[in-house]
Parts: sequence; C-alpha cells; structure tokens
Amino acid sequence: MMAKRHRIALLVLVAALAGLLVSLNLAALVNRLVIAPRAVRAQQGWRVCFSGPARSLPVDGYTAFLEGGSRVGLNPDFHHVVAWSAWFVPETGQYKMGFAADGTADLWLDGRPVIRVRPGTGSRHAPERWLALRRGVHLLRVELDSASGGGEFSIGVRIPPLMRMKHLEGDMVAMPRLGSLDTWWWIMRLARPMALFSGALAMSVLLYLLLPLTLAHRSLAVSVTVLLALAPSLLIPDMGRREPYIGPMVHRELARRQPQFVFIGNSMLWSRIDDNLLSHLLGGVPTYSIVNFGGLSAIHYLALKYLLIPSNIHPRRVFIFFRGTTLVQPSMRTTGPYYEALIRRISPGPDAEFERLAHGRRVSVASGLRLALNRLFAVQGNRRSVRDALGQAALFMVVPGLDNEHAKERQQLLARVNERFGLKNVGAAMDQESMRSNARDPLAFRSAVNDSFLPAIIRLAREHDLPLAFIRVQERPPADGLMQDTPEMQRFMADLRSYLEQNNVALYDFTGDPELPLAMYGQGDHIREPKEYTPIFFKRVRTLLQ
Amino acid sequence: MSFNSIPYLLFLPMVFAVYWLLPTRMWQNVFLLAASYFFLGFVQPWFALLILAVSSVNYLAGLAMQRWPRQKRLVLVSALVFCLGVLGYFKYANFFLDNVAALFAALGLTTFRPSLAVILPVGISFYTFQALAYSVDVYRKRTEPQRNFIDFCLFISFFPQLVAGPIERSGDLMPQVENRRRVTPARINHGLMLLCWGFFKKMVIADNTGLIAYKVFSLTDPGFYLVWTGVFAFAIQILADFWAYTDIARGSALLLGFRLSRNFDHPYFATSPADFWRRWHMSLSYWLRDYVYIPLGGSRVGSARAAGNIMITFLLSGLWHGASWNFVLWGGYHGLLVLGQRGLRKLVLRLPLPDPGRLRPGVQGAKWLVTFVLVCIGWLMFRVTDTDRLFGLLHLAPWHAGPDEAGIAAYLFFLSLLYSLPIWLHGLAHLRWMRHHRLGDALPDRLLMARPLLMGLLLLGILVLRSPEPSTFIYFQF
Repeated sequence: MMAKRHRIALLVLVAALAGLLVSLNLAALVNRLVIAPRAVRAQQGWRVCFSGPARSLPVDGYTAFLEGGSRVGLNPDFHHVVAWSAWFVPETGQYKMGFAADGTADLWLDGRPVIRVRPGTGSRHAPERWLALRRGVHLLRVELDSASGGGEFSIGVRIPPLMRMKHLEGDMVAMPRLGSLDTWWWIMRLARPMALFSGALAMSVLLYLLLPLTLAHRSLAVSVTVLLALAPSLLIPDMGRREPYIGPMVHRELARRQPQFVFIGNSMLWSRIDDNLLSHLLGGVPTYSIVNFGGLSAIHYLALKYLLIPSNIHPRRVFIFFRGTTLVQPSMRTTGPYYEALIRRISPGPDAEFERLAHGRRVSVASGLRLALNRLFAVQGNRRSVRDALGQAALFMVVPGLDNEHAKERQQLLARVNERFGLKNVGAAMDQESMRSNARDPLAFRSAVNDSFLPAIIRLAREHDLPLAFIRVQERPPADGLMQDTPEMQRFMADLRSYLEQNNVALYDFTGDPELPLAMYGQGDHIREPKEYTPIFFKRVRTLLQ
Repeated sequence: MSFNSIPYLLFLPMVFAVYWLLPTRMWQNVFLLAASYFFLGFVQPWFALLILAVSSVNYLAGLAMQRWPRQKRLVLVSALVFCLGVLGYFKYANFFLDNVAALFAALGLTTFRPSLAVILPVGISFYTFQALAYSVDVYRKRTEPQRNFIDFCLFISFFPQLVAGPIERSGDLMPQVENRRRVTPARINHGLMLLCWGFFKKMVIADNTGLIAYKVFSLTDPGFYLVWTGVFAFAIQILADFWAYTDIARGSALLLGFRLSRNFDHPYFATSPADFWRRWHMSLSYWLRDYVYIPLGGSRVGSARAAGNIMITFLLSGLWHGASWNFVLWGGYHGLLVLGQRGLRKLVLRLPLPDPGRLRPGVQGAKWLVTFVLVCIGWLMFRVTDTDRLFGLLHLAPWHAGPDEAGIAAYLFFLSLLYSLPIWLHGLAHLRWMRHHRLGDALPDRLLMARPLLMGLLLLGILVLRSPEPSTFIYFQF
C-alpha cells in the first residue's frame, strides 16, 4: 500500500500538472476559440495567429533552413536563409504593402515577387507598393538572406479607408474589424506566471517522488541530483559569457586626447569621417570617433552612456550618425552573438533602459536572480560555443592543421558550404524560421519615438551637458540623379526635425546633397574614401563645429 | 501527441501520478485506456473511434472463435478483412486509385479519378497488425481469447506503443494487462534511463543529422558526394529517430509497470542483410516472419518458392511503410539482398577457401562494411519518394559533382559522424563488453549508482546539443 505522504504528493502533482497544461495552452485556446473564429468571420487579417511559444509563427512552410556561420545549417545565429509564409485575407480593394528587411529579401504574393530589398540599394526604410487584391485568401511569402545575425523583417499593409499602416506579425493580430482584444490579451499574459508556478510545483513534487523510488539512500540520491544539476556548469565553465568591458580603455583614451568633437556611429561613420583630416581642417582641434560596427540606436545609446559620459570629458558637441528610420527602431541589431558580444563590450552590465526598450524586459529582482542562475548554470550560454566547437571539429577533420594557412582554408571551406546551401540552390523545400518583426511602423514617427532610444539619448546628453547633433547620412543615390525621399520619409524627417528642435538638438540631413554622387560610394551605403567626404562634412556642418 | 513535445512531458507525469494513486488493477486499466484514447485523440478525436472499432471487431472475433469453433475460419477471415480493409482504405486507397488511373492513362483511356480526402490515422499500421496477430493467435489456439473488453482495448491501444510500436504479441503484453503491476526502484530507474537515452537520440542525434539530410535533399542539383553524405546522415537519422521512439515507449511503459519488447539491436553492426533484419524493427520483422513468411511455406519448400516467399514478405514490408512505389522498391531491394546473400553463401560453401577462423576480423569487417553500404543504398530509396528523382540520383557518378563538393560533403559527413558518435560507441561497447548487460536493459545492481551519472550526461547532452529544429518522429507517418 502506498504511503499517505506519497498519495498526497501524487495529488499535488496532478493539480500542478493540470495547472501547467492549462496555462501553457491558454494562448492557443484563446486563439482557437476566440480570435480565429472572429478572423474567419471578418475575413480579414491573419487566419491563425497565436501559438504557444512566443516565437513560433503560423506557417504552412517547412522546418527552418538555416545557415549559421561556422555552424552551417544548424544555428540561425549568424548567416541564415529563411522562407516564411502566411495567409492574408483581405476584402476586395487597393492595398499598399510595405516591406522592410535587414538583409537581402523578397516579398512574394500568390507566387509573384512583389517587393525586393537588396543591401546596398539604400532602401533602409520600407519600400511600398500598391496592390489590387480580391477578396479571399492570398499567400504571402518572405525569403530572407541575412548575413549579420539577428535579422529582421516587417511587413505592413495600409488598409483602406484610413490607410494606416498595420504591421502583420505572427504573434499579433492585424485584424482591424475585430474590436478590442485587450481583455483576451491580459488573460493570455496571466498564463506565464501561472505556468511558472505550476511548473515549479510539479518539478518539486516529481523530484520528491522519484528520488526515493530511484535509489535506496535518499541522501545519496539528493547528492547525485545536486551534482547533476551543477554538472553542466562544472563541466563547461562559464567561458566567453562576459566579453571584456572596454569602457576603462576608452575612458583613458578620451581623457588623454580631450576631443572637442566626438562622433558616435557605425560603419557609416567609419567610412565617412577621417579624424585626423577633420582635426586638421578644424585647425588642430582634436576629434574622436566611437565606431561600433553594425550598431544602431540601441548601441549608440550604450556608447554614449558607458563609453563617453564616464570619461568626464566635455566636448563641444557629440554627433550621432544614423540612416533612415533606425533612430526609432529600438530592437534592431540587438540580438545574435555579434551584437550581444558588442553590447557586453560596451556596457558593464545589464542596463534597465536598454532591456526595456530593446527587449521589452524589466530589470528587477527576479530578472537579477534569473541572470545569476544563468551564470551559475552556464549551459544555455555556452550552447553556441559547444555546437560551434563540434562544427569546428568536423572542419578540422576535413582540413587538419594548426597553422594559419589551414585555418584560413577551413574558413574558405565553410564559406563554400554556405554558398552551396544558399537560397539560389535550394528547391521548393524551403522553410520557415520564427522571426522577429518590428511591432511598430517606424515611418509613423510620433507613435514610435516614445518607445525608442531617442528620448533616452537626448535626456542623457542634457543631464551631462553635452550638446548633441544628429547626422543623417545619405544612402546610396541612384546612378541618374539625386537621392530623394518618398513622401512618407519626408514626413518622417519633418517630424524628427520638429521633435529635435523642441528638444534643442541639432539635425543635419545629407540626403540629396549634390556633392555626394554615386561615384563616391563603395559597397552599399558606405563612402569609398573618408578623405573625400570629410571636407564636405566640414563644409556642411561648419556651424555645428564651432 | 508526440513524445518530444511539451504536452507529452506533462501528460506522462500526470498519468504516472494518477495511475499509481488508483487502488485496483481494474481502475488502473480503465484509467490507462482513457489516457491512451486521449493520447490518440489529441490530434483528431475520431482516431480514437477508429481504434475502438478495430478493438471491438477483434475482441468479438476472439470470443466468437471460441464459442463457434467450426466457424472460426470464417470469423478469422471476417476479422482480417475488416482490419485490412480499414488499413487499406485509410492508407492505400489513394495510392490504388492513382495507379489505376495511371494504368488506364497508359492504355490511352481517360478516366475520372475520384480523390479521397483521407487523413492517415496515427499508428494505424501498428495497431491493426497487433490486432490481426491476436486474432490469428486465437485461431491457432496459441492464446486464449480475452473476455474483459477493457483489458483487450488496453492491449490494443496502450499509449506508449500505440503510435509507432513495438508491435506486441498477446502472449507478451496481455498477461501484463491482466495482472497487477508493481513499481520497483529498479524499474523506475531503468525507465528513466531509457527515457533519457531516447530523448537524447531523438533531440540530439536524429534531429541534428536530420537537418543535414534535409539540407542535402533540398538542393535542386546535389552531386554524387553530397547525395551519399545526405544518405549517410539520413541513415543515422532514421535509426536514432525510430530507436528513440522505442526507448521512450519502453521507458514510459516501465514507469507504469509494463515491459515492452526491444525493437532494435544495433542494426548498423549487422554483417549481412538477413542479420540487419534480425536487428532492425525486430517486432515487425518477427511479425512478418510469423504471420506472412512461415504461413506461405517459409524455406521448407522448393528453392524457387522459398525465394518467392522472401520477395513477397519484403515487398509487403515495403508497402507497410508507405503507400508509395519507392517503399515497394525499398522492400523489393532488401528482398533481393537477402536472396543474394543466400545464393552467395551457397557458392562460398562450395569454394575451397582457407579456414574462415583465421581471416575472421578482416572478413567480419568487410562483411559489416558491405552490409552497411547496401543498407544505405536502400535508405536512398526510402528517403526520396519521387521515383524520377530517385533514379536520377541513383545514376549519379563521382564525376557528377561540383569542384568543391567533395570537401563540402566530407565536412557534412564528419559532422553527422560526430553527432552520431554515442550510437556508434554504444554499439561498439555492446559488441565488446555488454552482450549480457545491455545499456538499454537492466544494469547490474552494483552499477545502480552509475545510472544517475549517465542520465546526467545525457541530459547535459540534450541541453547543450539539441537541435534548434525539432522534428516529428519519422515513423509517425506509417
């Protein structure tokens, strides 16, 4: 006969698991029972939206086809090629479809390419196209080839009659006729704490039940289990989780140089400003560029906060270089190993503002505890390293040798592998990957600015008495004329200018500058020779360089 | 419900908890039956009705054969027709109609081809075979008919082995259903071990090598080296995938006090095609041997007829896997391999060769290699369902490859090999040391403490090396 305490434990286990079952399926249930029927009735929007895991998109495709740098095909962290498809069910009418992507990407509708985005075309903001659609089901398909990691795309559609941009997302509903879903949204948000509680309870009871059954000596069993729980951390030390914080080094350098003008930006800045030349043009006034390759507004915010401000220098002005709408796209280029490593290099620890804006997370006691547990239990953090090591071992078996020549040969082989499995070489069997898409319409400046890093950057600069200027670089111009913004982009820039003026921040826009023809450009939006650009910059923004 | 899903990770502990709370065997069986029907009906509720129908017919057939012994042949045939009819309709109807239409089209006749919107019920190939075997065993008086309907339904639909086997015989599983189960530390321990090893094989080995195979076969124009690397990756994937399912099934059953049959015995260490089939999907192989091959006459007939019996058995085995010509081809290919092996054996016995004992390691190695390569060729037929594409790939020669392809293929081959290393090491250990103490079965008591450590390593492997792209079990589709 089973002991009474075991019977009680079993009853608690049943209750906990039932709670877990309900909470894990709550979102799917709400979707199936409430949202999907409404979508079908409305005949507009995504037919199937919510699903359990946050990043799982409703697709009719296949499993992911991914390329991952040295972990080819097995990890989406770096280079990845994905296809993703979903249904769009509009009423008959004219629709304007917008598509933005971080990399090479095509948007297909019913098997026909509709919008193409190519890196280096200067189209950082969403290209849009009018489409006449008939009532019924249309198949949307996105093919994306991202080489930078953490790639993103967003699809939006301007729905008549208001023509307000609605972003289509996998885990959000874009159904204008459904009314408010707020109540259901809150119910679904309850699922998470409920699942955590039930899961923890179930796990505790299971351990209690199984351990005495498994081994004769409880103390021994507990020791073994504790050892097992810690084994991952013991076996795989916390390697590479913390990049060296470069702050002190930059602070020393800034203190030594005492620059009067500081520039913050990414490769757009690097390919445009030659510090020595600019300093010379300024009559020997020192300047300094803080370049974080690939970084966008989130990285610029961290650079300002942790690299420039703690150095206690007081430059006459700080310039931040940007392109298109990226100032109000807070989560862009904040994920993937490269950007995560970059963030760890330029910030000493988790930044509450950054976590809130880039990832929608709050830094709290609970998150601190989670972080501490993650550091103790380093498996997840080291997963990439271990998988990477396995890939490297396989490469080493093909090209053995420890010298640089062989290492180079291995990298070349890997590049060839990636190329062989590229988008152009795979057939119809392409797949989906869960993707993040921007939740907001970046072109709608006023609705996007409050959730962006822009106010935080301005506030920081003001608090530390740093005059600020934003420089919008010109993207790659067309071969036959000057660069021109779309009407939406013109409106965006007008809103941005007005916002910055209200905050007493300068803005200079190089778009349409006749002295910046296509001939000056190298790859993509980069200028071929900074020495050619720097004098133009000096001439144009002389008033800001006083 | 798939084993490698969150619902199952909740379902199993919940069933475990409620099951052991119940006071009597009868209530436990009722609960297990309800849980099994929930497990099956999780995707489509009517799947549960179908298995109920199959169970009812065979239950009644068993009782009828005992009640009216003179009519038992008729009763058996009726039960067989029903079971095979259900299987044929759900699994082969569209295949049959397609081929009839194609035949008429080849003769220049246009036909109206009705398309049946049939969904293949999960596990139908497995539970119909299990039910058929029961009826045949009752007919042959090898087993007594089961009088308790609940017990019988549980025997047919016991959820761990419901979707992809092993196909259990009434003589093995029925006594366990009929008698009170006991929970012992050793059984729980063994069950947890099998679960860990099964999840490792699925989530680490099968899903990672499967991704490589998938990538290769997604290419529009794979060359010779890439194709065979893809086949190697697929060979690993299908073994790890199916073996994982069996281990998780056996582990889950052990937690509930049941013992299920083994289905695999390191098939890639086989040294002949016949040896492979003694190690691969053993429950199906033995089923086909006992209910098809031997009733046809087996090898106790003339050599031509015996060869025919082998071919029929293997063709049926192929067709059982799927309603597609590539599976039939795969079955036929393995039939020819077994026949070839028999012929070769007769020839070798006549040749004046030196003492085979002196050449043993080398000969064994060569036999293993040849068998493995032959089995891999078969896997290409299994993997590529489009026969035109299949023949195109089979015609590829080494010079049909791009300049970098050998290097790329070598990289993917070694990656597959590294991921599958635990399976190879397990097999080698099994060959060398563990003939009597298999890892999957009970370890000696003195090694009881080794289990948590081994489980810890497997869990660690799952945490670190699991594929970012989990997939469903391959044999779910059969």
